[in-house]
Amino acid sequence: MLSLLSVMLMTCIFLPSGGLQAQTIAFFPLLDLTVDNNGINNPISERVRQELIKSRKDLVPAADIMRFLVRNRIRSLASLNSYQISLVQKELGADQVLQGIIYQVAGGEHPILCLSLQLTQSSDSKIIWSQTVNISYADQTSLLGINDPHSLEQLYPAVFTELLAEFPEAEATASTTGRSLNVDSVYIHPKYLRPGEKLFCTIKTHKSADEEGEEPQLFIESAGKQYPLSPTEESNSFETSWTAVQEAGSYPVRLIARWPSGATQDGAIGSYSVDDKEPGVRIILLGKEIDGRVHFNNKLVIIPKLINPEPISHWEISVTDEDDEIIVLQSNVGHIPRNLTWRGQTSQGASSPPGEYFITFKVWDRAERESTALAAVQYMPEQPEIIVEIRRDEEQLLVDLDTISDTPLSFWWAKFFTEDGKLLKLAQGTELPSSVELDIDSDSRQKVECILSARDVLGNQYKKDINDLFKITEGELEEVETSIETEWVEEF
Amino acid sequence: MNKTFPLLCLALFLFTACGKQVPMVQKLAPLPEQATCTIAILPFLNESSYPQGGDIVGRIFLSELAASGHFKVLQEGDVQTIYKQLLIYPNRLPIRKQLKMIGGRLNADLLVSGIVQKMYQRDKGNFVDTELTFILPLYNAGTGELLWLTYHRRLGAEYQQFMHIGRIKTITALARRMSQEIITDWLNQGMLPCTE
Repeated sequence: MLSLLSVMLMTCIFLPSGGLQAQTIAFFPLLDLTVDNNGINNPISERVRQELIKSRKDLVPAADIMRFLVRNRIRSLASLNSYQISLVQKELGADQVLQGIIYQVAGGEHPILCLSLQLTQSSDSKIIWSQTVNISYADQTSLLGINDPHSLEQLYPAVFTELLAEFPEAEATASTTGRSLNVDSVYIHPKYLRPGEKLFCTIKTHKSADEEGEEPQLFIESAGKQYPLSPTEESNSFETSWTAVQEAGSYPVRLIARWPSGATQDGAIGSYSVDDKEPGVRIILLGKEIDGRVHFNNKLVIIPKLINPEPISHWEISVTDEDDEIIVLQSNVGHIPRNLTWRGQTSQGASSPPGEYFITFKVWDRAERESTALAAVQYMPEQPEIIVEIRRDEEQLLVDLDTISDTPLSFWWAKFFTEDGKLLKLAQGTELPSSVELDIDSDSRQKVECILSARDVLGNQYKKDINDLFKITEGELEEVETSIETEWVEEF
Repeated sequence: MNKTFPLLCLALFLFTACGKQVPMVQKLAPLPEQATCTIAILPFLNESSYPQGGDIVGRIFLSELAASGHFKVLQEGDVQTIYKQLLIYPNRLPIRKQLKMIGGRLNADLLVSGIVQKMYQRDKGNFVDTELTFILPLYNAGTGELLWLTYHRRLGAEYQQFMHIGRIKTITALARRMSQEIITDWLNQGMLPCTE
């Protein structure tokens, strides 16, 4: 009887004081990082739950926790945010949230278990206790090998003893009535704009878990000015707009919440940039410049360059013909290409006729400022035409060579052969017209073969083989062979 | 910041690679006065071949920082929410502007990021080999400025005292021990704990 009384007395002395009471704990399934970064380990979670119940902890039923996760679409473990923790208090009536992570787990002969638990106060999302335990068979090996753990089950007592040794028995519920704003999303548009353009900001908040239901006044602060946010038709959504300043630069945007009680909360939520300068662009055409105009025959390399380099939103290139008709149009988002090549074809792949074309390259920066560069180019894909005229003298044969092409020649040469293949003459030069004299007997009826070759400065190649020059003098049409060289030919 | 950060890491590695085995702290700027209490841990990057290395070390560091009782450690879920809102990949270090926004949204004093460079645990029969190397950049949450860069490299065998006693046999235990060493070192180097 005396001993019973003494036990009752001791119980009274060590009862928790009035401010401390048993806390309801919402224990969430453990995240298992050995599976992946969102793995779950139900057996060990259940084991921890049983240990907590054994330690007389007041736990929210596991089924309620599962329903809570499903209801609130929480898909990742051990990473509840403050809003979700406040929901735990509101929906499950839990004072504390217990989350945990398994870092290493191995069964079998060499068991290992490393995990941590983290206890959070649901009223203010404050982490009040955290404990990591790492125990492996190697840590538990004794000198004689007696009672060494050879399964995960045998490791559990050591793990849970250490893990829960300093688990807080009771924690006074936070009396703080500090306000906090749970921002769900922030949308500031546009992020880059010109001076004086209008900005829009939409903010969505989570439902306030504030018991008194006080709604704060919300303001946006930017460039030293405050703009009140007004509610939209959508619940918990607020919006405002303001005009960007004239000076270029990056401006932070802060959200300020003011409660009627006088409490305030503010923090950076984003930024925007004012751009007052065009990027500027020029194009370099890698062609042959003749009389101050760029010419090309089969491919033109176009190199765009920014005058004031800055990030580019998108670009566009177009080629227009002399009738101002667009024959090529290409565009893309992102930075300008290092170079572009035009092969004288339209966007549909058809060959363009020779002539003058205009290349326009446009760029837009992130503030949609446009810059344009324009350049003209001559497309000359035709081979140079050489006209041969023959005049007969008494002792000489005069061969007059001329060209009707406007494109200057890079070179030309003419070889004259007798019927038996003997070289009569080789004439060459860089300019036409020119005249070649052949010393041949005027009475001779021997054939004179002529091979003509020329190339203009753009690379267009010409070759003509005249089997018998005399036939030209007689006014007969000579069958000639003209071809664009595609393989190695004899040159001088 | 992005251009200088790898150079700073390299310089820190070169200066400390053969140095003593304590966390090496390179102070690039002073800590904000009276404002080092509230700390947010950003997702750690994993450059090692250990699966989930960044997650493991980052969460252990958070757990140890909270367990130290000296700091108010913010919820990892809050950091993840802001990462999603700002479209920051968890495997990238945020730029200064983003750090400033994270700090502003969380009302944090300091932000701690991490890069796990080497991490392994090999069972060799009679003993287990463990090694962990990581770098912790510490940022001013108000300005996004890089303040301290902490480099720490340890082998589990370095803790061995007699026979196999003291040797650290799991990578989690090594990460935990190294986190404790860093937190102690930070406090010794002048980081002020919460006063309340």
